[in-house]
Amino acid sequence: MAYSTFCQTPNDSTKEPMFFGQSVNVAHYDQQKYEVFEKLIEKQLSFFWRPEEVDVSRDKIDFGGLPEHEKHIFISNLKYQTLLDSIQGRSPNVAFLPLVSLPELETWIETWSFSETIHSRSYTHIIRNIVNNPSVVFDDIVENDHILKRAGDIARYYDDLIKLTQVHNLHGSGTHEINGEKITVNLRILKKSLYLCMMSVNALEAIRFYVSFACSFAFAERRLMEGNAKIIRLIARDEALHLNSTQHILSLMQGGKDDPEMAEIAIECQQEAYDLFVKAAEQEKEWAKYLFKDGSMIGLNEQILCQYVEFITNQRMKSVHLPQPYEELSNPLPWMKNWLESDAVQVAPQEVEVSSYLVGQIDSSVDGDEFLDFDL
Amino acid sequence: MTYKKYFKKAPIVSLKGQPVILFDGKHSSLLEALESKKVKVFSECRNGFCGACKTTVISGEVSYLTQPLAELNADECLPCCCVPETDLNLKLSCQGVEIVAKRQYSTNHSPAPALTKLAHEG
Repeated sequence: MAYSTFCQTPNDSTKEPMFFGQSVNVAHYDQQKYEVFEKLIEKQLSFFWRPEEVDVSRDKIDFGGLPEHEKHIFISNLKYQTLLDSIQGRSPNVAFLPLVSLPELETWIETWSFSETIHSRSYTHIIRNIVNNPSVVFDDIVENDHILKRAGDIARYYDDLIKLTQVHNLHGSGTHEINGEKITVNLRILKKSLYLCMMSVNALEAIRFYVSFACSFAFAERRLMEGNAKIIRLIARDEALHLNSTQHILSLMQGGKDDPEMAEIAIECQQEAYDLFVKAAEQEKEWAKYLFKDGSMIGLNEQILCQYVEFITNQRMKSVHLPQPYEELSNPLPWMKNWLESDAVQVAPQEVEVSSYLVGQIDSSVDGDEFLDFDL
Repeated sequence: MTYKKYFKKAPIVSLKGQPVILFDGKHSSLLEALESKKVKVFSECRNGFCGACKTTVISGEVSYLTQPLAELNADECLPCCCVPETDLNLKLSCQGVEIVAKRQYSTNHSPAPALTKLAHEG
């Protein structure tokens, strides 16, 4: 299945599986195998925003007034968010696009990744505002062991999939010696790598991001760094959508209707997927320890954040049909929902409440019943 | 003009068989109604696309205010963007929930057995 940017074999894309079918040729959306991806694209586009729309100037004053240990919490958290979006802004494109075989899914992946680049741009917007030399913050991301440790685990699944795809594309199935390294690749190995990568992306979007959101919103709960929280709120709204999409993809894979071999792989990889989630959760708990090493802040400390990690991990694993590793408890951060509620997000000044509006949209649906009691 | 062709009874929402809410239209969504009774439901986006509030429906039907984007099984609903269409029985715990006390009738007729059972549970 050598990749081509425009495969000239005519095909009915609705008969292709999500991945590993014939590469997408004509980008058409009139017939769709999975309408949900089209809906996700529309929703994501209706969510469009730019970081410059949010005024973060007050944050500089707030930041200056924070005690040292809270500055550490804020900056470290921001660094981590920057890392996550740096990865997400490119990886879905590089890893998934060569494998995808449905036009609507292809476009969704591009739309998804594009929105992550907006998130990355927001971090520069925020950091530029609160420190005089932003590069000090950015440079530390590739030096800070606590961040790098997790970066390795996140990138690993993507890198593995990308490498296998490239080898398979060039040399086909079999064992190949490349730069002195023996690599065995076939379609099943690729599918397995894709499944685990999708699980890892889901864990990233579902757990890691939310831990960082909790920290950002904890400041704003005290009416500090509110500009930052406004931006993070927009990011969180996008992430909920991305999370939904990977859950959908995983469910379709597990269901087996899309590709029966994928369902076998899902069963085969259940333990690995479970371990991957637990590892992500444990890493986040370690991160909480690092964040609060010099002291906690009002409303959030290591213990509460760890409880939140466990709570959210259980919820997210349930959504992708995995057993729950932690004890069932109630949401330790009930105020999070005020920040995650999407209609409370203010997108443009003239639009205070409804967040997802389509420009020029009119409601033209008139039901036949409306005229039932109408006589002349 | 206020005449309506049919009368629709306000649906009763039960949690694992225990009636908890009379959905009389005071709340704009099922989730809001559940929260007003302090039912523990996890929610995030509250707009049908994150899927956090996904709840199993034991019996009954809901209608959606906005079409949910989250993946749903046939026996699941998203309380954040739906309202009960018929009496609804949800697979949620009624622990810590304010339960409407059943009125005790002091008549010679003994109340229906099912009712007595529920009143005791409450």
